[in-house]
Amino acid sequence: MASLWTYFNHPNFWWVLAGTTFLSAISALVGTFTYLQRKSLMGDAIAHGILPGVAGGFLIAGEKNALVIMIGAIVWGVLTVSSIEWISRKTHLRSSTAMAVVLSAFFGLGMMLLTVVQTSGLPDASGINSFLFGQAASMLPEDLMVYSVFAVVVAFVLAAVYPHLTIISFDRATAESNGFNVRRVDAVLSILVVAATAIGIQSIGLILMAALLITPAAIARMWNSRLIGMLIFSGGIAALAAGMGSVISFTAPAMPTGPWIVLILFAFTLISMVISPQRGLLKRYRQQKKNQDIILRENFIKRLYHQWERSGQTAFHLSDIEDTPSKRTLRYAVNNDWIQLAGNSIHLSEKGMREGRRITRAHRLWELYLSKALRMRDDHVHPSAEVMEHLIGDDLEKELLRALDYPLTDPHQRDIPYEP
Amino acid sequence: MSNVPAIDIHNLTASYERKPVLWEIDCQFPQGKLIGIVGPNGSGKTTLLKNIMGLMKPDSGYVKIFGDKLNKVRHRVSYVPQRESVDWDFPADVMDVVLMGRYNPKKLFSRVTQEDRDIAIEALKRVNMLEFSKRHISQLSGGQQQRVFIARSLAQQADLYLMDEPFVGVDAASEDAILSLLTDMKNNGKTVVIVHHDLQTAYEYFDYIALLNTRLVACGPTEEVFTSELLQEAYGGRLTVLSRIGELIAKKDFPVREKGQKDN
Amino acid sequence: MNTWVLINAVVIALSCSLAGAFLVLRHRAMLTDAISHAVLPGLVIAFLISGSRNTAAMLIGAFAFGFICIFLVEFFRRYVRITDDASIGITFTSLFAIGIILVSRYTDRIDLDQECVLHGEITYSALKRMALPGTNWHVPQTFVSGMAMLFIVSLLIAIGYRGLKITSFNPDYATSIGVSVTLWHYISGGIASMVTIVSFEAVGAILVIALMVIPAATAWLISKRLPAMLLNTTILSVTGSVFGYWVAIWLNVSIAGSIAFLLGIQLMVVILVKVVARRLPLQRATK
Ligand SMILES: Nc1ncnc2c1ncn2[C@@H]1O[C@H](COP(=O)(O)OP(=O)(O)OP(=O)(O)O)[C@@H](O)[C@H]1O
Ligand SMILES: [Mg+2]
Repeated sequence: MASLWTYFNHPNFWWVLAGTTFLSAISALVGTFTYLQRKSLMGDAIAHGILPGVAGGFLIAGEKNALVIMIGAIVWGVLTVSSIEWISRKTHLRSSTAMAVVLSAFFGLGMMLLTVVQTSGLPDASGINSFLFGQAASMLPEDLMVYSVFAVVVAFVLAAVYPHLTIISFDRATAESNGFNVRRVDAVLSILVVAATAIGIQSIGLILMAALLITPAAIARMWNSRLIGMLIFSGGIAALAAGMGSVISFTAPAMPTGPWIVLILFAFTLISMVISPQRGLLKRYRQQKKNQDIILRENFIKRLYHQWERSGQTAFHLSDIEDTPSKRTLRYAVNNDWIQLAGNSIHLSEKGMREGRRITRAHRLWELYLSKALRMRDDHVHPSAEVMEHLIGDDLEKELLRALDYPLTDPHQRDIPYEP
Repeated sequence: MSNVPAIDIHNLTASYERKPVLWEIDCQFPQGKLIGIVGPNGSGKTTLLKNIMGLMKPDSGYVKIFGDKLNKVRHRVSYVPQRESVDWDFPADVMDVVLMGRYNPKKLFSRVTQEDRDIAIEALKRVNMLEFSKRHISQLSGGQQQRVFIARSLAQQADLYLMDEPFVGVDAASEDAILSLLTDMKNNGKTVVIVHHDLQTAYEYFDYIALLNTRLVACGPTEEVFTSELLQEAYGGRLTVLSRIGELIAKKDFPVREKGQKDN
Repeated sequence: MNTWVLINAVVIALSCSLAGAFLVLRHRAMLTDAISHAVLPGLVIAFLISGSRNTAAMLIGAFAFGFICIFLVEFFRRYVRITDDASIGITFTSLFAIGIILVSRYTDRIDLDQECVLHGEITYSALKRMALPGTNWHVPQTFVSGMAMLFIVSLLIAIGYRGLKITSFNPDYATSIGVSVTLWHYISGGIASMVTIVSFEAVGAILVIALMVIPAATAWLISKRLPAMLLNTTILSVTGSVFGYWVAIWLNVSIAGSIAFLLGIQLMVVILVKVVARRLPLQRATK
């Protein structure tokens, strides 16, 4: 732990930590809107496209001057966006193709300028590499001030256009038809993405900047379905990942920061994928298991009910029941007082009878519904009813009864059983 | 002509993202007729066609074509997708597209023969597009593009034709021309199934109609189906019971059939 | 020796641009971005395990990660319902990050560095020579592997021409006549992954994207039919690399960067000419 303390006491440490978390959170907020509009890869195109601006800014300033580089980045970012827009307007190429074109051509130009920088003999020329993959630890408080001022501006603009962004994110078509100026909002969002990309170049680097715009938003979507929740979540997760990345950057100065932040975000993605309440695999698995359980136990009690219907008997021997129930099913039935079990003999209780009757009623109502409302042939309605009987709850049953006007028999002339 | 139905759809349920948009569709289309699939926007007409052509996997049920699995009779079936489903900027001229009708998955690696060319030219003549054969497909009007698609379909020399909205964006004169072409095909014993959303013309065009609105409302000879009661039912909106149980299925990730259960 | 560098660049440009053409036609251009980043960890891991620049090991490693990339994209999209472009973005940034971390961690054990990943080493591609079997001619290894790749790509496209064409133009129709769209998607993706992997070392991640996307996109704008488009694609990739190389030598800058940028200039010129031509009333009358 002693070693960590030395970092905490490092004069830059708290500056950098506070700075990167703040910058990353702001970038992630902007990314949430591009994610919702399915424009995620725009961030990648812009991040690569601004390299000429970064290298050019370096050459103009003659040193690693955050302000000049930042302005260069924003100018080229706007140029990148406009070029993509221009190509997709003037030709039939789709915007994804235009992105790949502009991204690689501009990055090529940037690489040309980088070699100029490296052979220029300017002091600190090798420092330019920190813009490619990020080097949080090397940021000076002055640099951070510059980035943070831009970030604050982004945050304010974002707050100002928030209602408009919300509208075009969720109901673009309606907004458009209502005469809402969609293109202007698009343009504002594009500029915000440029700025959001530019403020992250030194902490995360431009090659991997796209991850900060895309991944937190995708993670947030797995946990939230409301916009405000998504924004809070994606900002938080980006800040957390960036904070952890900066710590790593301090402990291992030779390592670039960006890849670590991205890797941490990737880990969060995988974890969310498994456990998130909205779309997690675990939840999906549990739900399906639960469905199967419901089907098994309801089929079991339905079968007992049918046997009672035929014979009038409420006592059965376990071996008389077709499809022997599993232990789990039996336990559930006993625990819920559907049956009493003694050795191998089963007694169907009043409650079990009600349950069996309810399912049989749902089954026959559904068959009748398919036959009446969907005009299906009577010998085709059974397979669907075998499943829907488990889904039809009280509400739907009422609705079906109303729609069918409290029928007495199903299409196969069997009685529809009501509660006595 | 045999009595086997051209298309036999059995208990077909199909969904997008788990939410059913077609419920237990069950009907037969006879051979040698001009058949319309009619219903309001979003009623699942395209989806039904996609399921017939095996472009989507249904949740339940199956489709038989000429009494067989689609894979066995594919060479006898021709499908004309909705015009918007392709990128008309693709680098191809009219002839290229019509020649695609001569592609055969088993002979995908062989070359275009003179016979293929003759068949394609014949098909272009029949839709009155021969003079455009060297034109780039992006430089055609909507109706002309539609006719190129029909020519490609003719070049397939199939027995059953399935067309998704062939009259959209077509002017009245072209519509008449296409219709008389389809009627010719029918008179030569072909079966033609057409997705159509215009009620006004449906009555005069088709011999046989399937009325659709997420469920099958009616399926039969035109005179039997075109009653005001049935039309009102098809165009009178969705059934709340179906919508609600569809939402439940999606929300609970519930299956549409029990495990291992097959529709026989 | 400089001639060899140019020849290598041209050979690589030809196979990349041909392989990319079908991705561009399928509107999957950004997939090249993903693949070209995602193969990096495969290359590095192969390097670490085999302990040398063993071409076979690197191919296997890169292929493995190319497939992991395609699999993850599909997985995120289908099972967690992350949007298509975001799945691509998450996958390749993450895989590339792993690659970069490995590169900087083991920088002493492998002769790849962060810069080489971006620029490639086309300048050195003429150095390592091998004798052509049965002769006394010594040619660069990169040239041999490049020619082999060009041959394979051309052969695959010639054989698969119809399948690639029909599944690109009208997937639904292709399925309806019994052509597997999924299979041909994987074939076109596989060809693209292959050329990416073979070219990566020589030209770096970014030029691979430029070569795969820009000539094809440019050719698409000036060609009426697919054979013409493929021909124009190859011509534009050659002119782009020759001009790019020349400019790079002239200005003494990154060759890979310069070729990528010149390819972009070619596209811009074509668009400008088309825009101006459209304004001329004469042109309209003849169309
Ligand atoms: N890819 C898809 N993902 C999700 N839902 C879809 C998809 N395609 C169609 N749907 C939905 O399925 C329903 C049926 O769509 P379908 O395209 O089959 O209708 P349609 O009858 O052909 O309509 P139209 O007359 O407009 O062509 C619609 O409610 C539609 O919103
Ligand atoms: Mg439709």
